[in-house]
This record gives sequence, C-alpha cells and structure tokens, in this order.
Amino acid sequence: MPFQVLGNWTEPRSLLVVEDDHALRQTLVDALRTICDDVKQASTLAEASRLCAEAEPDLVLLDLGLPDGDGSELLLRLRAVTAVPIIVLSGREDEEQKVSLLDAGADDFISKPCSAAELIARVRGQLRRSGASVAARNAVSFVCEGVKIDLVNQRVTRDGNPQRLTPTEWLLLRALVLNIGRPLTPRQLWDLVWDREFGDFAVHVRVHMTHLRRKIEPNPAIPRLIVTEPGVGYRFIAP
Amino acid sequence: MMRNPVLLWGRWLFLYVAVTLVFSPIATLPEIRIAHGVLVYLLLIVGASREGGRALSAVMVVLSYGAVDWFFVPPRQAFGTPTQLDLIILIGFFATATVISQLVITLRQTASLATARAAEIERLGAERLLLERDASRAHVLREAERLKNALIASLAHDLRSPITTLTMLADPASPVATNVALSRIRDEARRLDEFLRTLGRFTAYGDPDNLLMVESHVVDDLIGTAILSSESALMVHRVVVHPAATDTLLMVRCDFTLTLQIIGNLLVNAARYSPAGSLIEVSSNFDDGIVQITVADRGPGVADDELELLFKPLARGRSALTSPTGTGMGLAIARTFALAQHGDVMYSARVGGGAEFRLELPSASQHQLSLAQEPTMKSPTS
Repeated sequence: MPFQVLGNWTEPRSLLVVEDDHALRQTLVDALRTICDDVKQASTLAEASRLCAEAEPDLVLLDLGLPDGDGSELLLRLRAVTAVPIIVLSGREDEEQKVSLLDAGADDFISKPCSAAELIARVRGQLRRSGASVAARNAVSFVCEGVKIDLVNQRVTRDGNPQRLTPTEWLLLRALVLNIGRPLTPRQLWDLVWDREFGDFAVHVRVHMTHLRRKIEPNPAIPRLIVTEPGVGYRFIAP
Repeated sequence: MMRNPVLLWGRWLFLYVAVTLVFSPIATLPEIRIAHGVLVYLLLIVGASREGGRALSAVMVVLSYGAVDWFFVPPRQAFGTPTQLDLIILIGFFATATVISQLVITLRQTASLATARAAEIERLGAERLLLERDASRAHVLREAERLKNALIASLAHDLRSPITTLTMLADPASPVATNVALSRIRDEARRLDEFLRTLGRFTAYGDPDNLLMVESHVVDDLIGTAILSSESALMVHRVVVHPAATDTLLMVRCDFTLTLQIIGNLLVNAARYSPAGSLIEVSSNFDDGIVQITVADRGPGVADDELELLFKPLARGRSALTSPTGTGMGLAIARTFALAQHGDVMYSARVGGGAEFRLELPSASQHQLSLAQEPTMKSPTS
C-alpha cells in the first residue's frame, strides 16, 4: 500500500505568503492559486503576524529578511502558538541559517530560485503530512523500485531479499519515514534516535546513514529515498 | 616544580629527626644491626637528593653519617670506632651516600633540562606549523581573491548575453515559439543563478568570519549527492559509481557544499566534453592518508598545448561539445576550493582515451571510523 504516511489531499482553506519583493510575491501567489482559492499575502512582519492571528492559514510560506524584522522572528513567534506548517524561502547558500530555522521548528525550506512545480510539490507535501494522523504515519509500508519497507513488522526487503538492520538503523529509518518530505538536521536526528548527550553527533549520524542507505536504497551509490540536503541534513522522499 | 626551600629543608630535617628519634631507644637492642641504619639513612639521603639541591643533600649525608656512627657502629652512643673493619663501613657509607646523592641530583637536573628542551622544541614546532598554516591560508585567500576578480571581470561580459537573450525572448512580438522561448528563458535563468552562486561562494569565502565548515564526511554521500544535484547536466550520459576497494567507510575532512561543487564541476565538465551516451565513471580510493575521488570520461581528453591553461580562470577547452555556456571558471574554482581544504585537483590523460580528473582530500582520522558495529535485529517474522 503506497504511502499511508501522507494524508489524503484536501484543498487548503487558506495559505499565507510572506515576501517583500513585489514581483516575487505576486508570482508565488499566482502559483499557489492553482491549489488554493484563498491565498493571503503580507510584505511586512507586522502584517504577517496580524494575518496569522486573523485568518489562521493552513500553511505559511515565509521569506527571510523582511523590511521590519527578520522572518525568523515570525517563525519563533508562530511556533510558540501554532503547529501550522511553515516553509521558509531562503538563498541556496545560507546553510547555517537553514539549519537553525529547521531546529527552531520550520517544516521545510525552499531554496531560491525554484520552479513553480517544485514550490507546489513542497507545499502539497507539507499540507498532506500535517493532515495525516500519527497512527496513520506509524502504519507505513510501501514499495519503491524493488525495495519494500514495512515499519509495522519491521521488515525491509530489496528484490525479495530481507535486509537486516541494526536497532539504530531502524530508529533512524523510522524517524525519517515519520517525517517524510521534511528535512531533518543531524541534531534533530540525533535527538530522535540516540538518547545520549555527548559525542560527535554529526559524524555518527553520517556513518549510520551510509550503512542504512546501503541496505534500503535501490541504488546506494546514488541515494534517492534518503536525499542529502547539502549543509543542512537529510530528507526522506516519497517516490 | 621547585618548592619553597624553607619547607623543603624543614621537611627533610624533620624526617631525619623523626627517624633518629625512632632509632634512639631501639638502637641498643641486639637484633638491630648496622645494615638497618645504613639502609634507612641511605633512603633518606636519596629522597632528599631527589627533591632538594646539593646543599641539602650534603647536609643530609653529614647528619646521616653522624647518626650511623653514633647509633649503629660499635661502640654505640659514641663517635668513631677502634675497629678497622667498622671504619671501612663508615667510610663506605659516607662515600656511597655522597656518590648516590650527587648522582640523583645530576640525573634530576639532566631530566629537567631535557623536559625544558622538549617543551621548547614542541613550542617552536607548533609555532612553525601555525606560521605555515597562516602562510598557506594567506596564499589560498590571495588565490581566491584573484579568481574573484577574474570572475567579476567576466561577469560584465557574460551577464550581458543572457540578459540580451531574456529581453529578446520576453518580447511579445518575438518570432520564437513560446515553448522554445520558455525553455531558453529557464536555461538562461539557471545560468544566471550559477554565476550568482559562484560569486556568493567567493564572497562568503573571503570573509574571515565565514571560514570553511570542515568536518568529517562520508565519501559515498559526497559522490551520490553531487551526481544527484548535477543530474540535469548528466541527463544524456551514463554515470557509473565504482565502489571503493576497501571494507571501511571512506571519510574525508572537508566542507560539504564546497566539495559538492568541486565534484559537480568535474562531472559537468566531463559531460560537456564527452559524447552523449558515453560513460562517465566515478571512483574513490584511499592511499596514505589521502582520499582520491576520480571522475573519468571518454571524451577527447586535454590537448598538450591546453594543459598549461587547464586550471587557469576563463580558459575554455576548444573541444567543448555543447555550446560554451560555461563560465570558463569550473576547473579553476574546483582547484582553488580543493586547495583551500588542503587538497588538490589533478588531471591525467586516461588510458584508452579520455580525461581523468582526480580530487584529493585529506582522509578523516581513523578513530572516527571505528564505530562499533551493532548486531543486526532479527526480524520478528523471519
């Protein structure tokens, strides 16, 4: 059964775009109108805060570097009161900022420039993920290019051959699948999988990730299920 | 380590007095022999010499001699002896005590001198290393600055062309079919982004507060991610990754995104200079603390007269198969980025035809690889 982990697609009631560049904001709004009739827009932090409280959007697309304050402020303020999915628009090179935003609770980021198709896909992914119940996310089993992953029975087979995972690799796989489509930083993975507070966590995560990929990727040399987000972390991608 | 001399003298004189007080009531017992006294006082002298200077040890020798003579050498409770054999013991004791104390002191002084020299050598070594590192960093920064200038110089020229293309294509009266125009607009946008990214990298790089994030990374991850992110450029080629011929995981010390760009540049280069449908092979191996990542193609390779210019900025190979949309900076950037991470990029002609570019990076130290392998879990149904 493919991806019960993602909820069914239902059209969102409203979305909020926070972006100060007029041309870009208009283009983003036009693109998002294809999946939602009510796309609200804000160009300042104050406006965005007001709209968030009034309209309770289903998702916020947030650009950083607004004229009246940094977008990360809004992120922190929003996260204190709501679990609404937040996608951050950022420059490709601002890796450290992406990591700190993800650690602070952003659900995803989109690097500028991006295509409209990519934007819509990310937004849909986050909306479906936030719509899926926890129980549904735990009951995952799916097949992808000959690799079958069954979280309930803790079984992974590749071309019919059972793959033996270590306990750590299982926890890692679970953490990734339960956060499908969402980038996780090494720090987040470390907190989810290891109950230790010491050690060079990034190296541990990288090494175990490589072992896991060798067992679950259809082609481990070019991983497509667990994708590395350079300088940021890892993302499990729905095939 | 030198302690307060008053305390030192006080301690050893106190010990001497204490030992002597212990001996004074029992020294007359018949089972106490000269050897007991000689040994205990010798120990005292060795101890005092180990910690104190020549003066203290000389005083201890004299005092001990006195105690041994007074308490242990017959006639007891008196100095001197009428027996010649006992005189030998006394002289022997005095001589031994003096020699031992001087030996211990000399030994200690030599040892402390050696320690001081070792510390000095270590300090000088560290200083030299620091100087060398500064020098090489300065060199790399200078090189990056030169590249940045070359890039900016090329920008003015190279930006004009995509902007002209965009202006023409976006004209509603343009004769170019919409779908063709759109795909060209997308390509040009991509090209502009590429310029911007490279420029951004250099700006971030020249900033001393934003130095490289050098960490231990898995080579497989670097290669896989580089291929995935260069996918659009590699569409008409077949890419094969050869696994490294080692059991251990190859890891390198590098900045992940910087290295990604190096490998990406090598891959894009290979695609640009080799025929569609041909094989691009990526392999990695480990040799003597260095990890090599090799990108090999079956293109025409690099002509001898082009070799010298190969890694120079703005040099484009004559044999580019696709239109020269590159910046002419790919290899220069790759090499500078590699040097900045204590690595290098090298070219060699490939056996059987083609080009082979080799990225070398320092291997991550082995202790980080020795993660204990966990046992695998038994699947509940198997």
